[in-house]
Amino acid sequence: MTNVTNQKAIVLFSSGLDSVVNVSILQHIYKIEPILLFIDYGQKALEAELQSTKRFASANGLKLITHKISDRILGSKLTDGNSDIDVDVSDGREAPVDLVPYRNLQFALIGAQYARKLNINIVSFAFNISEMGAYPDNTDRFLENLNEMFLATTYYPYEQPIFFISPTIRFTKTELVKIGTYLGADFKNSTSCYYPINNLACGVCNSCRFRIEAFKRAKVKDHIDYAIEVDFDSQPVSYEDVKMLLDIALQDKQKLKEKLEKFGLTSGVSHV
Amino acid sequence: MCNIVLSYSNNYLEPDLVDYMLDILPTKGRDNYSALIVDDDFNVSLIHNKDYDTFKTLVDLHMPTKLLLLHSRAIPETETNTYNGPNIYTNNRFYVAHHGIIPNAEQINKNIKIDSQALLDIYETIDYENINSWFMQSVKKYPRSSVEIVYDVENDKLVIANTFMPLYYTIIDDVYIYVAYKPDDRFCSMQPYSVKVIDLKEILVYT
Repeated sequence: MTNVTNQKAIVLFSSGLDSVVNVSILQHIYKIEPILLFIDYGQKALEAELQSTKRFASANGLKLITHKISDRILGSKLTDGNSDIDVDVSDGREAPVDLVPYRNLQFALIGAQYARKLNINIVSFAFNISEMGAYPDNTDRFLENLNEMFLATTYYPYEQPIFFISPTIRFTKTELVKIGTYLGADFKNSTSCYYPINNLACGVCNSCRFRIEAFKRAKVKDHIDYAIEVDFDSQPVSYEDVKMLLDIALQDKQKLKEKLEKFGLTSGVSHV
Repeated sequence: MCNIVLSYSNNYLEPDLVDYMLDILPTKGRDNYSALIVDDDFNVSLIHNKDYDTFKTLVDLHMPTKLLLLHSRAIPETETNTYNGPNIYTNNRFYVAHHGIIPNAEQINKNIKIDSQALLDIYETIDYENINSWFMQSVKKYPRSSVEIVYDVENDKLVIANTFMPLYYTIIDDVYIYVAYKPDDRFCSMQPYSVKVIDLKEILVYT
């Protein structure tokens, strides 16, 4: 398999399911070294996410950067208001209860600044198909426009380009559980819960519900602890189960490789 | 959540182009597959299958084809099984494919079987004369639908629309191609929150 490059990537990381699989795809398919970037934006689950992120980084020998946004991002139930558990029962004409407006645009700018400081050319998000319809800043259009805007404001060759990628963007959460399980993703040191109860995932917030549903559909046991009883099937994930998904990940890797080559950033290409 | 691959043309679809369209179909959504085919006499056929390899064998295009609409579905974990059906739906006037989610589908239509069915109720009021304002009003009714391709049999019109999620287009061998996931740099992005109407009667097949 040809490596994309000997590059590193700044990986925006929350310790959620998507984040953890993103790291696995970068490491095992893209052959890129991830440097985790955890951002404190005043989210209610800050402590649980941060502790889980530290455990994940430590258990997997990864570098971790933590960054605090000085003012909370306003206008979201994830950062404002009371701490009641929100289950999305809106009729669809309202925004999702867990929407944080412009969050990923802010994250992109912060990620790019660290990338530039550390002489890194890649910033990676962990988007997925399942959430694309609810969050406009989780889409391929968002990524494409971000890349175009950054390239248009990069004074090459005086400044090196930064590319924003999302190796998880073409997959549902269920597919990510399958890929992650196949690649050995460290799900145990992940958390998706917005409102943990005594360090246990609540099992009823939107994020917990979607995570549980993804593991159930994938027929894989979720090894994190829930405050409620949840039954999972447990079947091994074979190469045949994920072959099509791995092929798609390889296509995206090839696209990134071509972009990097255009700017002469793949001098370290090696074959493993 | 889905991929949509659409072509309309005044020419025969070359087998290589059909293969290309089928190849890029599963790049975004692999839970089931649908195809709408309109030939040069406006005969319509609709194909559904959950298995990609079987589906490809069913899309047999050995005839002049005015319109080919391919749809692959990704079923998000947010959806109940109620909406998990194949996703080109018709009431015999409109054929509707969409990309996105419609969490308020049951409020639009209580007897719904799959979510794209809810869009039919909205399209019954389509106003071609004032398509832009009609579209922006309809977006308020189901804001998370995002990309829609609708074939109006009665008027031989094709409606192509997107909101915040993208729809890309290009021309390959004189054939207009639209996709919901950009396969390469030949494709350009439609403006967000825009709609266009194609009159298929003006797309005559060469003989």
